[in-house]
Amino acid sequence: MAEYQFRYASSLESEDQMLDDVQSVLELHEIVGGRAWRFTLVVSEAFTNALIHGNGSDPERLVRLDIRVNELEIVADITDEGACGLDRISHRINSGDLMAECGRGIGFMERYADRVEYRESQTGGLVVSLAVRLTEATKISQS
Amino acid sequence: MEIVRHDKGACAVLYITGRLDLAGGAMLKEQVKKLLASNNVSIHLNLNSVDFINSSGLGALVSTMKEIRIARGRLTMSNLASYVQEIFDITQLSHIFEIFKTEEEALNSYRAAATV
Repeated sequence: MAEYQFRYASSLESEDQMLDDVQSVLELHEIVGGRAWRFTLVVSEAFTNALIHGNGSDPERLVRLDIRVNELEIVADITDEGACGLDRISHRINSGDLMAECGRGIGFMERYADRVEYRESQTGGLVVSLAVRLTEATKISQS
Repeated sequence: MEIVRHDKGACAVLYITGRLDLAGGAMLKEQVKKLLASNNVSIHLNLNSVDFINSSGLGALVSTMKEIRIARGRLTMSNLASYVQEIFDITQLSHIFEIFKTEEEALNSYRAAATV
């Protein structure tokens, strides 16, 4: 298994760097096409949530991105430094309003990842674990 | 992300290249705000070179459309890559936005509207 660890300040500029890093890992493992696109999308959604909702866009707070790749799947853990991480997830609101300007990210994660898990870090931050299978098997499960 | 503007008739066409994400969306909103301030209310987005879009980018597009509607203008889009189109379809935003296959089709619709 290959493992990669990245750390980002919670600022707008970090998003591009994170996407470049994800792309580099995908290219290194020759993960292309729909799987690469799905993985990039779901990681970007969790990253944005961590940056804005978890860390309050405070550049002093970091977003952690840990990626693991094996023969079966590529997995990303995105961790913020906020508080009451699981409460935030359980209180999320999906208004269903087509004209809403936000609130679609978790839906994308749950649609495009093969597995989504939420847990709390030891300091109360939210850890979102996202897996995309690299084999032809169907979806594992969805939380 | 990069935005290049070409005026075609009464329509301002914005060619967007790169990632339409949180930062790209902020850039787009700023560009459209400038256009509306200078009374350019017919705006077309050519998304041919958008290689990534996420919910933040979608949110920026929705925000942009609201601003243009308030200004009594019109927003159209064209040349969506298949995965971008899929994102619009699953969120049902394809019912909200005026999406054309090609830029030419979109611009023709402006010409047709002008002659009515």
